[in-house]
Amino acid sequence: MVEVIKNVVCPFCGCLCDDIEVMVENNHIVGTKNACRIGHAKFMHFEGAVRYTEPLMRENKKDDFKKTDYETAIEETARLLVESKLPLMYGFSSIDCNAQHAAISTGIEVGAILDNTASV
Amino acid sequence: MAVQEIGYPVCTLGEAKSRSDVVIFWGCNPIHAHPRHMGRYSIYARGFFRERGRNDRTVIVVDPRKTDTAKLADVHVQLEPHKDYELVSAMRAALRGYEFEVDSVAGVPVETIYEAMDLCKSAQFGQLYFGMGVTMSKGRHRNVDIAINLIIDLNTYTKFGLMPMRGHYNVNGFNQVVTWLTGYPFGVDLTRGYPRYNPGETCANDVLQRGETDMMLNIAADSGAHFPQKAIEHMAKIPLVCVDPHQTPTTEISNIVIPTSFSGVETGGVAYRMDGVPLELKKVVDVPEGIWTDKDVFDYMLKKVKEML
Ligand code: SF4
Repeated sequence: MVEVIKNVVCPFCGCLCDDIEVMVENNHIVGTKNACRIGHAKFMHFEGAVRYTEPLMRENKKDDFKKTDYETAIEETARLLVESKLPLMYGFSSIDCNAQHAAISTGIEVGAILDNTASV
Repeated sequence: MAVQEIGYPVCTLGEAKSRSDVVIFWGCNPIHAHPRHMGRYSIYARGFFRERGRNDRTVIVVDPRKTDTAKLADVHVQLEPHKDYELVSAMRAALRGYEFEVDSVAGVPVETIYEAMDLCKSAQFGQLYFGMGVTMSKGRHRNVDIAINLIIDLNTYTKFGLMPMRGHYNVNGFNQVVTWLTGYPFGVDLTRGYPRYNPGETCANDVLQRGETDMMLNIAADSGAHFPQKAIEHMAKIPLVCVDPHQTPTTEISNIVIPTSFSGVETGGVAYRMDGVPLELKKVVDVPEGIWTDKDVFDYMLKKVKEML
């Protein structure tokens, strides 16, 4: 059964077209309507290149990554943020506002530099 | 930066669709980067006062290259690369009625400059959209500064607005949220316990290129592919954490990778359109098993950070 979801907002460029129809079958996107070339391609292949399935960690950048769980990876990140003298948090432009709020609050707590793609 | 020093006239894309009759694209190529921008909002869209769509609008494209967008323009102002500041200065002079003693400025014949300014002056509702071509060329945010001054000048004749063409879908959202929380739109330095803002000193590229930052958290951005070499070299030296669903050149040089779901596809949320209109994102498929959302990750990080401090 193909389900059609209407009035979807396209999260792939600053136009945020809000009239996209997305066809979904068995939790997979099988088609779109109204989206442009970029939007369509991204909805169809949003999983893109290589998608990670679990958090990865390594002490030394020359080593290979080892799999880990979210709790450990995030705790280690929190420790790095807290111990750093001048931590930089950069990006933020492809996550939603609620996540941005939590991320920025983290930056305020640790005293970081917060910057996004608008400045480059 | 320029924006906070002066302020500038804004409008929504809906208003631009209904009213704008002169449209300038400066250093952007919407046909490729924002494919539906012209059709839905700026050029071809049939608006309330612009029923005939494209026929009711004059399109000026300012770009050193003959882009596909420039090919559709009524006037293509083909300036020499990196001469944006010079050209806008000349436009402001033309607007004030000064005579030029040269034949061309920034590679553009003065007749073209006069023609473009006449078109802008006679507009009922003009709109300037600018892109990376302006902010990435020599002068950077100073180019935006002077473009704003041009818009202010034009507003003594008619109504004219200006809008940056945002690439990533929620650039504006970050600027909104961080302004709400710290008072500044980007490049905020909180390391002294209070917010400071001084682009050229406190932006990501500044602290990376000067080698000052000693840890970086990179959130769904491929800085490893887009930053200058010197910045990337420093990123490779310091502890680097990436929150990103995908493998990218940045994750390749990181110590920790935290994958997340896709907002707007696998989770809902809110994003700000380039004109500052917030829209509700929709979830269309489920998050893959075991993957946390961006919000889960940062909520947990905030909790842990608070415990450690
Ligand atoms: S459909 Fe195309 S123009 Fe519209 S938001 Fe998506 S990528 Fe941008």
